[in-house]
Amino acid sequence: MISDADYKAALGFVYKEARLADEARYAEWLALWTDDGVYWVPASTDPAANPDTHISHVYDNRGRIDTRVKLLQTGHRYSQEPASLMRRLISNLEVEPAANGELVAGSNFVLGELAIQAKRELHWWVGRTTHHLRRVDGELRMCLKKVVLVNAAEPLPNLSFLI
Amino acid sequence: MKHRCAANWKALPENDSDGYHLGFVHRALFNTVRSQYQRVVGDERSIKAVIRDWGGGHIEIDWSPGYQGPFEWFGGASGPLVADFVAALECRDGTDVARRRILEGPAHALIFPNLFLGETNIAIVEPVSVEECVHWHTPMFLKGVPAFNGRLLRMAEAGMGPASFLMPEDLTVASRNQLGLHARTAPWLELSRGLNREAVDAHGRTVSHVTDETTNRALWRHYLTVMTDA
Repeated sequence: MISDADYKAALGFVYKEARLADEARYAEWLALWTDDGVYWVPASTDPAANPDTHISHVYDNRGRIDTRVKLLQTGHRYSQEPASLMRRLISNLEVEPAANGELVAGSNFVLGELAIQAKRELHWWVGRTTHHLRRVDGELRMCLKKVVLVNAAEPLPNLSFLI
Repeated sequence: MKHRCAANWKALPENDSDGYHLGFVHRALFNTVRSQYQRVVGDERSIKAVIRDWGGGHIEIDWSPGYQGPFEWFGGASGPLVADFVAALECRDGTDVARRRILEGPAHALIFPNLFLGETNIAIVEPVSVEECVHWHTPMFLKGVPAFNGRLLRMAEAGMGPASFLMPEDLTVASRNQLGLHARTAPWLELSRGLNREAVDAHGRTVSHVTDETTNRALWRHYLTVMTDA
């Protein structure tokens, strides 16, 4: 079991992280990561999918997370220039304790993305996110963000925004 | 991995084997990290890569004249695992063939009409409707060298697919071009770049500077031929 305070802290983190991603606030979003952060979007819904043996949509170590954000900040990442207009709804939050005082927060999301870069289509993204959260200097940071889309293995349109 | 695109399928084979768009479309990546493609952007006179028209709509970008060392196509891989691989390759194929292979790397070529040999990936383009297609790809693992699989997976994720650092730009531009094709005021698109400097090599293949539209012309010329004969 975790305390109400930990549950609220995890909920607050997940909401804030979603808002910064939705609003393309790249530098603030990047600051939410620990130095050893891993950002993972499998290309499969199989819970046993292993990124060392199977391809992923995203499997970024911290260096590649930095690169992903730098690209978005160049103004020449044309698939996100201008940035998609996005809002995601988050629910079904469950928070569990993990080793070393970390928290594991699982939540569902529905994300509406107006891909305004070409045909101005509204894309709906649905899935479950797992955040591994660690306190660094008294603040929660994420050391893993895993996003499993319900259509992870289907043909997807551009996913170059922060999901 | 399957990547959906709001453009006619023919836009993607043309894009996969086009050397002219790199410096513009992929500027975000080239301005951010070093990669093997660094040798094909910047001052045109310093770029040594070439394109080839193999006939029958089959076309190729050959980066290798610009490579200065082995494994540039493989992210500059080095270390004991790579040394073991080179030794095994030299044992099997002889030193000269092995050295050429690790310098040149796998092909970057289009087998007409929709099979793309994307260096360390293999891809196909699937038409869905007039203005929609899917780009499928898989990383290419080397037989007997499982130790390279992790690197090949991470390279594939960086280069190809909806969340990668290259293809989203290509498919965005393809979608914008598709919208542009609805315009009625410009009936022709000009693909004349490099017509003044193409050469024919000893094998009868047309070769030109990597930024020339030789590959684009070869693709469309053959498409017209097969569609007209039908």
